[in-house]
Order: sequence, then structure tokens, then C-alpha cells
Amino acid sequence: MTEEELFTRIQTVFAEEFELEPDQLTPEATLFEELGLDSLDAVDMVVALEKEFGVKVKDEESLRSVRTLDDLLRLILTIRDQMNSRDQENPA
Amino acid sequence: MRRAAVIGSGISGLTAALLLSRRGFAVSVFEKQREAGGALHRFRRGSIPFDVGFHYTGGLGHGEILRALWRHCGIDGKITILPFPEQGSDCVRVEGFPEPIHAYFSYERITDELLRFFPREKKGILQFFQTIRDVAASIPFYNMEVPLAGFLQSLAFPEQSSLADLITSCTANPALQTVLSLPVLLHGVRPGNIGLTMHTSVAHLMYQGMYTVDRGGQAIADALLQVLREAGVTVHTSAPVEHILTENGRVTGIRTSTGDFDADDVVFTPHPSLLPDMVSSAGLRKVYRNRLRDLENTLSMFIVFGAIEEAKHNERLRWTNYYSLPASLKIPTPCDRPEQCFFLSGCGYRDTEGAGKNGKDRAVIIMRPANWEEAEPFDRGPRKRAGAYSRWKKSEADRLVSAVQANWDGLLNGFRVINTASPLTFRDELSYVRGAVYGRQHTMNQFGVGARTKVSGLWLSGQSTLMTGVLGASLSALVTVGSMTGDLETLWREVRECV
Repeated sequence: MTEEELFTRIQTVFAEEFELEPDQLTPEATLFEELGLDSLDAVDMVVALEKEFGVKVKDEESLRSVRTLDDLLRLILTIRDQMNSRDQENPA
Repeated sequence: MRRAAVIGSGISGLTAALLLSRRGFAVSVFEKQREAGGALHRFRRGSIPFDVGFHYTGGLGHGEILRALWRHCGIDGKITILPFPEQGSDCVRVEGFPEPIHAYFSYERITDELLRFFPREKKGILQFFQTIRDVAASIPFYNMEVPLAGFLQSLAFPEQSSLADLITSCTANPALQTVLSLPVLLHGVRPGNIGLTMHTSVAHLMYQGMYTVDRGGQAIADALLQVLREAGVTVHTSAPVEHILTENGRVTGIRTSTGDFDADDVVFTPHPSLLPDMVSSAGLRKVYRNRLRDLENTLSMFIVFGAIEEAKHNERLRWTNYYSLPASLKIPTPCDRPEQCFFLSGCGYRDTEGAGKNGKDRAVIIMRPANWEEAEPFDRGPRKRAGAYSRWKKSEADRLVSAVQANWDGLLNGFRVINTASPLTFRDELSYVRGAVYGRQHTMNQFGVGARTKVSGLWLSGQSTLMTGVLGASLSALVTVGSMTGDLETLWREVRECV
């Protein structure tokens, strides 16, 4: 999946699950200030993204640096790469 | 005065109501059933009292957490706490192992017993219990020096290391693995799926000493209800809440069949998956509603309630519970072969309350894990359940009793079956979703459910939030009330001062 496709899917998750307006969901949009999410939404966001992308967010630490939707895309890409390289090291 | 409506009158609802009234709230409790108490309630058949949900608990020793909380609530002097004596135990017969093993309620005694049966596993046994003790020392409820806020925050994210990881690193012996995993029966999650901290929050108490209360859960409910009455709290029974009323993202009250009730705060204690249908969709995000609806649940139970007449009394039942369990890390998986997995408690032997016509019968209950799917085919509304449901319950009860008789010679002499409970009973009587006796699974694969919600003034409490069981549900009330008032640290300090 390309970065662009991945971002489109992030937009879809936010539009559907968080019932946000699609035109708000730009890469620069900040989660907390512009999209109105709060600490209570953080867990739901992780759950929704895990379900959609099959990635595991292991701790709160990695979420701290996430401010915008683009940051979120970077985080998912990083986790995905980590998972892929682990799979290559330990083929099932 | 801030007005709070508490939905559900189980131990979390009653405890929350009491803590709130102590903090100046005007509190009303709403219970769907005819009687308050939830799983604490004792029902009677043929003048024999039976406990549904309260069989034993930890945390009631001097200086222990539940004792301190009950002292803070003012019910400590109103109930008689009965410690299991030294020889008391969960006596376990593990499939394929020749002798029964006593899982004593003491770190030292259970260690000695296991060393006696498994001398070659000494290193692993010692390592296992030392690890559990170390983990317990990181839990504020057991080591009151540990800050509470940080611990609660860490619960939101799934744990990384499971009970199965610990057990398999300590021993490969299947019978020993079963005994080490025994406390999972008190939270209902398999060893591979339960985080070590969450498991320890239950297991540590079991290794510190177990207790029961004279006259069972009802005595706890009655004591709480008495203190609540004195505090001016109204408990409405037969009062199912139909809807939680909100306006502009904040709670305004609740709707019952008899009318609306204004409230600034609502504490919802039933299974969280029941919440979305009670709140208008404007308040809670779709993603949150779906997460609550999709929570993975714990096992259900099939229970046989029976009694032994005076002439056949068996002292072996007084302070020992009896188990037959599969080997290795399989419990608490529901299985359709009752002879493989059941537990039995002679709870009536521990009680001063008279039972039966002459007041001298003793209540005994036998339980096995059950699946919702077993009972679901009979779910056609309580009045329409045909004879097929009764026949199924009777045959399951007979199988369970035969399994006990085959495994424990003579233990059930003089036993007669009086009543049964199936997953449907738990759903109908206690609003347990899919009959799940411990609510949602507190697994490593599932994120936590916190006290706070997106609707201002709407709070969750109960065993599906913080931790399971009598202790978990009680502590969840403490945490919820602390979040509501914003002074959890003060409340926590006051409880600690009651140690």
C-alpha cells in the first residue's frame, strides 16, 4: 500500500468512526486542537487504527509525538516497517 | 447539592453511592430487580439460602485493602468476617495426576505443598511465587506506597507479559501448571491472555488468605443498604432505567418506567456494552460505542444449587473447595465434559444461618464453566421457555453431580439438587451480557474501559472497568468516585488511613 492509499484509509477511519467532516481531515490537521479529540479519544483512536491496519501500538510513549494526521501516518508506517522486518527475521 | 443517580445496586453501585453521599452528593440508586444487591443477593429455595456470586474473597485481613475500604464505608462492624483456617484450601484434582493437591491460601503453605509433590520443580516454584510477590509490590492496592494515579494510567494500555509467559518459564509440568494458574477462575481469562499485573491483582490476595462473610453476600448488601439508609440515600428497586437523559453533551437525568429523575451525574455499573443503547447517539462517538459493544466477554457458568441433610453432614466440605481440572494451561475454557472441569463449594457449612426445615441442612454448590451458546437455543423469553430448557438443565445438573461423585468418592453423600442456574439465568437476573460472570475480559488484547466518558457527568463503574470480582468492583467504585470529585488522592488517603 502506498503512503497515499494509507492516508486515504486514515481519513476514512476518522470520517466514519469519529464522525468528522472529510474536508477537515487534511495531513496538517491537529488531532487535539483542530479535530477536537481529547485524551478520552486516544484509546479509541488506537483501537480503530489497530483494527484497520493490523498494527500494535504498544505504549502511550509512541503516541506522545503525534500531533497531526500526518504524524499518525508516520507512526503507522514506522510500526508497519518494524513488523515487516521482524517477519523477515523470523519467517513463520 | 450535586445530585447523582447510580444505576445498578451490586457492590460497585452500593459502594459508589455510599462514597458519593459521604462527599456531599444527593444520591439515588436504581435497581432493575425486585431486590437490591446484584450478585451479592442470596436467594432461598425450600428455606435454604444460596449465594449466587459471593463465595469467598481475599483482602479482608487486618491491614488489607478491602477491609480498609469497608471500614471507611462503615460496614466493617456490621458483618462477621470468617477467615479460612490454615487447613482451608482449594483442593485440586488435575487430570492425569494421581493425587489431589491442596492449593492453600498462603504463600508459604502452598509453596510447601507444591514442593512436596514436585520436588524437582523447586527452582520454578520459588521463582513463580517470588515473581507474583514482586508484581504485587508494584500494585498500590497491595503496596500503599505506590502512587495510584500512575498505576491507573498504566492499566489503559494492554500489558506485554502474560501469566502463561511466567508459568511456562517456571515449569513444563502440566499438573503444576494447572495449580499455578488456578486463580484465573476468579477473573475468567486464560493464562495466555491475562496480563501478569492484572492476574496478580487477583491472585496475590488468594495467596495472602481467603475469607468469607457469615450469611454470605447478603450480609454485605444488607450492611451497605443500612448505612445508605442512615445517610439518606434512596434505593429504588424494580426500577429499570430506560434511558440516560443528556442535553448538549451533558447528563441531565435518567428515565425510568415511572418517570424522569433529574441528576447532575449518572454512574452506570452494569456491563458497559449495555450503555450505548441507553444514551442518545449525539453524546458518545461511534468508535467508542462500537468498542463497548464489541468487548470480549468472560465465561459464563452452569451452577447446581443443592443441599446435604444433617444426618449426612461431611466436615470435609467446611473449609475446602473441591476442583477437577484439565492439565496444563487450559482453564477456564468452557468445556462440554463436566467431568473434566468443575468446582464445588460447601458454602452452607460456613454459615450460622439456618437452612432447610430443621435449620440444619447445608447448602452446597457445584459450578462448571459454560458457554453462552449452550443456553442460547432456549432463549425465547422467560415465560416461553419450553420443557426442553428444563430437561436440558436437569440433564446438565445430573451430569455435573455424577462427575463430582466419580471424582470425589463420598463427598456428595446425602446431596439433593434444589435449583440450577444457566447462562440465561445470569443474563436475566443480573443483566450479565451473554451470562458473562466476570463481565468483559481484562485481557492483554483489549484496551481498558475507564470511568470517564465523553458525556459530561456520565461515569462507568463495576467489574468491567477496573478489576473483577468483589474486590475489583468495590475498588472500581473508589476510582470512579475519585474521578467524579477530582480528589481521588484524598479519597485514597482516607481509605488508607482506615487500614
